[in-house]
Amino acid sequence: MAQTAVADIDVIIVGSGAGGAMSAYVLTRAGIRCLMLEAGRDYDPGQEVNMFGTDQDAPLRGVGTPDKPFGYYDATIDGGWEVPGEPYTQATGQDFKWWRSRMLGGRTNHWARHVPRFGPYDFKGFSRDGQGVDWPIDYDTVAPFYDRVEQLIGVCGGPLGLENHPDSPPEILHQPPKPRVPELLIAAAAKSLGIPCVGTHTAVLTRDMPDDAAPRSACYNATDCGRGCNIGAAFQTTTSLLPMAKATGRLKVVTDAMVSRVVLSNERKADGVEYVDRKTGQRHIVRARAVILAASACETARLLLNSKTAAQPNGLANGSGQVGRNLTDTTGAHIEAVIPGLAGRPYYNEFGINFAHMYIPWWLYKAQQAGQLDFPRGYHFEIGGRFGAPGMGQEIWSLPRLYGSDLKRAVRNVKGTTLHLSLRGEMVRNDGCYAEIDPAVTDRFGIPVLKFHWQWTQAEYNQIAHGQRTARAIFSRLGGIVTQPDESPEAAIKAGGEIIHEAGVARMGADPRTSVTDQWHRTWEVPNLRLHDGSVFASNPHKNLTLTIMALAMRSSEHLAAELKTGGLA
Amino acid sequence: MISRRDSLRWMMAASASGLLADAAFAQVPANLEPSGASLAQVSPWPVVTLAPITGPGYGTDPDTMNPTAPWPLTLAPAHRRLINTLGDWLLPADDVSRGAGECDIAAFFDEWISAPYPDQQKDRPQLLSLMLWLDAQSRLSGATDFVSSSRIDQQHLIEAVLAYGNVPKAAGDAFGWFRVMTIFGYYSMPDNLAAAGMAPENPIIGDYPGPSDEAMAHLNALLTSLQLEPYA
Repeated sequence: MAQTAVADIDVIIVGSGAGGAMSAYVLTRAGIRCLMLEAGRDYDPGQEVNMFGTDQDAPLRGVGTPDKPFGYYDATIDGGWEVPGEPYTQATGQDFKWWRSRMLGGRTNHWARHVPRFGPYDFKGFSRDGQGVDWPIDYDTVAPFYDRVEQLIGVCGGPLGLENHPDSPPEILHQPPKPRVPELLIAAAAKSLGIPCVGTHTAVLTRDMPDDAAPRSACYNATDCGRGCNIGAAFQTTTSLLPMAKATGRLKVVTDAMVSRVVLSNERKADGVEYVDRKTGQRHIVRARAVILAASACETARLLLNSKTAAQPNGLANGSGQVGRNLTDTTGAHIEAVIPGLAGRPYYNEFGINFAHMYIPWWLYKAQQAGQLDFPRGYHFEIGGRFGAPGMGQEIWSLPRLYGSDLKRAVRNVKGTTLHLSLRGEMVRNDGCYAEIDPAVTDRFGIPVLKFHWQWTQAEYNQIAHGQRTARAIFSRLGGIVTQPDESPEAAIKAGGEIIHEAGVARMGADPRTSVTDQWHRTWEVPNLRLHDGSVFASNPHKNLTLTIMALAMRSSEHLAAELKTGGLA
Repeated sequence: MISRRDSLRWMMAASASGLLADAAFAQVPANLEPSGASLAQVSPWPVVTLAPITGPGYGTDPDTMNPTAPWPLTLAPAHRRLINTLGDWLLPADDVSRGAGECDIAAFFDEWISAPYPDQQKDRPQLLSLMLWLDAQSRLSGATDFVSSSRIDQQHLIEAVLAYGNVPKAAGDAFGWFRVMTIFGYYSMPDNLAAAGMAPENPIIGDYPGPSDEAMAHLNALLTSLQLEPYA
């Protein structure tokens, strides 16, 4: 076995996405020398993002295929629901989807960039309703890091003024984009039903952010953020945190490095990691004073489970038995309608910053606490629908049986008439959702793979049913026609993992008997091994989790820097 | 994001229901009186058996700066002539924009059904069967194929298949699919989209201005008609 000597490294960071890149940014600025290992290839949005490529230019007009599930131009490389040579398995009859990418910047190159803060209730769910567990930290602990992360990555949005949806201090957020016609229409209907609709907080710049290493420009309201952003307006680590960390001269990045296990010097101390060069198959071991796993929640759990030793036979740092357990994702459902009153409406640039300028946040906390609902946690709706090229959508399939110039006129008339509401909700952890090592299957590097188990509970189905009723009420108020079948919640709910918000598989806590890390993300058994991704989430609120991953990674990294400087890990 | 499978399922249901056609867009003028166009003689729907296309796709890391479809095309010239002829019936040249045949919509169909991906492979027999059926049906009227049949016969056949008038259900379904795909392929050409009043967005430097005055006036009128208060 070859060993690579990487001199003068203090911290190894596994993964270059939200948690890994934030760790590198904080640590290198604190004078710490870091080695980052990324399983995918190098990636430079400045050179590789075809911002203005047309659908006509793309194969199959850019629609998704098994090679590129989210479309030809999508900023996902060598990834998707399946990664060639890197399988995962599932329990018989169960359905969990695992989205991965193999590229520098990981999944921050393509994401919704919706960045709500968790609120006070979200950190103390068990105390409120007796379900799940509390986090060992509270909102006030994390709030200063939210402030700093929002400033650092650039977030646009306005004040919220809502229960359990904390506002940002003045001067932090960029100016929100003005709402568009579909959002104003939904907001008016929602208001008439007593449902709030507010401006979305989105990690897209609406003012320039000069920086010597990573200058970023304000959004120009014209192209799809899912392709990546070569002007840096839409946040991804490859145009921001990573070049900023590299500019310190203290970050070395090795790509195509598939980490296979954590290496120990003794049972309570990580010595480094072993990785496989994806191009050559050669195995290397690199060593450092501390190791951060930020490989994405399930990859991090897989690494811990594959790093078992004689003394830790159930997996590294798994004395609690909680590694791989408590797997959660966001619930999802999609309700779509055609609004006849929008037919023939005047055209204008409705692209905006691409993502929803407004959304419907959860609003029934009091009813929930009073026991009036049959599900414990909330959801939000993301609003969709705007002008765009006629595709294979509802309004086109449903056109009258015309041909000729009348058909062309009909197509022009129905443009921009289809709206949709995407439900995103919180599930509470349950014993039926977990990941373990499949003893019978390895990937092309010989690394054992994960086997997923997934079971929704009645609570999630009840939540989806509530959302379906609410969405239909909103569309009905608009004279809309919901054209999809009246599906049962069991049929309407997306598969586990499909919303790509998996979390919880190495949760933090106050008790080493029931958690994997302490509040500083240090694994209880191996204190110089930290977890900086969604794996540590003690709960998974319906609020998208990337902002919180970054805020917590910043907090833990500063703690680690102090520890290293004071010799705490000697 | 909804899956293509779900999308197609919903849309077939909506389309078959006629709900939207009757209720949502009744203001769209129709040159085709639901004609009850019907065929006197009907050719059976041909079921084709095709060897699967097994070549490579564009892979998981294509050069998106220089997009190319690497798979070979499979349609014969006669197929493409037929598709372009149908394209010009569905979306003809007029004072607004070019015809679909003139835009060589057949090239889009050829790339689509020649692709080695499951969704496209599923569409391939449907298209080939539709073309075989149209030609066979045209021969019942004395023509050698659809393209060489008279304009009157072509129009009658299109109206009948659109109206499911005494045609195999599979033919009506396939033609409905063909019409949607023609619209999709045609309006994904930027010139055609611009001619339809939806020019690709030009960058806006500075604050996003929101809806135009005209767009807001339309919205406010709609809200009034729905007895809704504007969102403050």
